Amino acid sequence: MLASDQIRTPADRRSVDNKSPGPRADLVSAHDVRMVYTTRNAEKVTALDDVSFGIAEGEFIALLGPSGCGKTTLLKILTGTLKRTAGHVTMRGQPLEGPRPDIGRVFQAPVLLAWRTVLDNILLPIELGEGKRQRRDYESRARDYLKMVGLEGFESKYPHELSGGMQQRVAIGRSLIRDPAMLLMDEPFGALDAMTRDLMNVELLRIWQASRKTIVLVTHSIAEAVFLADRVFVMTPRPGRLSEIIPIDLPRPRHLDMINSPEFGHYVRRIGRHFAAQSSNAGASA
Amino acid sequence: MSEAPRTPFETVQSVLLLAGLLAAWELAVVWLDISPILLPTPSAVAVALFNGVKSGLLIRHFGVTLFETMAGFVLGSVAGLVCGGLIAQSRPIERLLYPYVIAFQTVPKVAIAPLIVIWFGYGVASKVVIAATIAFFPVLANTIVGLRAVPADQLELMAAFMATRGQTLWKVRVPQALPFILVGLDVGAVLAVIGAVVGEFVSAKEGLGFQILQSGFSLDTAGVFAALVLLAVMGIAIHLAMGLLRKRVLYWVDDVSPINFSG
Repeated sequence: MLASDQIRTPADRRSVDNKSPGPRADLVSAHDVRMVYTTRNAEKVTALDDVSFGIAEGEFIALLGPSGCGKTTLLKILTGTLKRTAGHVTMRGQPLEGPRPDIGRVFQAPVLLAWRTVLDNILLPIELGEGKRQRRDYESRARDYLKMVGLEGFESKYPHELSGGMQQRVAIGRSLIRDPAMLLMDEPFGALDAMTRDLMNVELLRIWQASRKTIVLVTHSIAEAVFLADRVFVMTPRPGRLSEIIPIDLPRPRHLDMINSPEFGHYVRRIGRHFAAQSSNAGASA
Repeated sequence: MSEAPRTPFETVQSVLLLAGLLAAWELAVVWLDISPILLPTPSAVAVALFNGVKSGLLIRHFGVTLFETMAGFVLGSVAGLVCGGLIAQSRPIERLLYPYVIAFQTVPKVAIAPLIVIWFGYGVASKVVIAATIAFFPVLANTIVGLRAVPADQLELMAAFMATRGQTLWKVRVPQALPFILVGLDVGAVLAVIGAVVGEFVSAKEGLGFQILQSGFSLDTAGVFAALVLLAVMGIAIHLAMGLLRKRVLYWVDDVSPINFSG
């Protein structure tokens, strides 16, 4: 499936963008999304309020914010596993009313099924959606994705035989198997150590470049958001709002040593100030 | 495995310990001149065991008890699996029935053995029913708990992949429940032996429990011990078989040491 002619280099990416200078149609758009939870004592908690945005095809979006700002809630609404209280979400112009096969999901934990081999885990969405018989048609694609996430030769291993980083790679392979248009990732490398995490981020950019998926990634690391994303959606808590959308105009492909560049530092400081202002406001109002 | 496998040296040590204990027992009985009715020597037990096996008498009783145990275990655990599976399908039903499951669990089922003998007669059937009743509850409780023990993120995963209820049951809930169910089966199998023997104590014409009573009545203490040795062999064999089953079924569990769950 992943023939080399499908893999666009960053230069291709830019040239294609140049050919279509007009505004691209959004893959996903959200208008005034609101989520209100009712707690056990019948209190209403507004997790999301007034959230509106558009995401273009092939874009890498980072959802950035402190814990409790509704990042995961927003991601679950985009996945279709959580019903929003109000507002509209559309994908390719159609309302998003539940899980769909063209959206892949990666969780904080790998969530692999321990009794299935790596290959069987990657093929799980196929088994669920199309039945066991269709599996064979996807096996070569599964092997391609395994190769892409750097796990060639691990097909018949069980999850407990893999490290945490390798397990999360399997989870990424699993989210890609149905060839979704969009990948939703909830702090996928949050549980990994800092060094592995940096490597996985570089890998993720490579996978993104190779697969041309739209990615929405939740994180609470400013540096991670700046390093990965085309645009950073900055969220603030209580209630969860989208307070700013910051385009990251750093060249691609991005390398880890870019973290030390002045431009990178500029973005990190700018977003950092945003949160500093938030917390001092909170302090003043308290 | 969290523990290193036994070395040959350790095995030799264990065997030597047993031999030493048996020798001490033998010598103590001889030197202290203890009546064989109170405590027979190990050698007398060995002779009783050998004669009983040679005459076929103990083999026959062993076979009867083994059959009662296995039949009861299979009946009780299949019933426990089916009932547990059904109860776990719906929260309201579980809430309705679970208190009664717990209540029955706390009733010493050994105490209802005489009742079951009245209902099912003095033959093999009543022992099978007693063994089944005792084996039923740990399997039932572990099945329910196991089917409920699915991490929330696995359910969200299945939801995101648009799995049906049946797919979630067979591809996630059941495999996730297997470690629990196997603990329930292990406990149930060992309890089934107790059930069969207790049934034979209440009233029987054959079986190792019957043989123990008979030997006891005729003050043949060595005969009692011989039957006890065979019961121990049966219990150990069943436990080992369950261990093999566990390794077979739970090939994907890193640490095969059983979860400590008292059903």
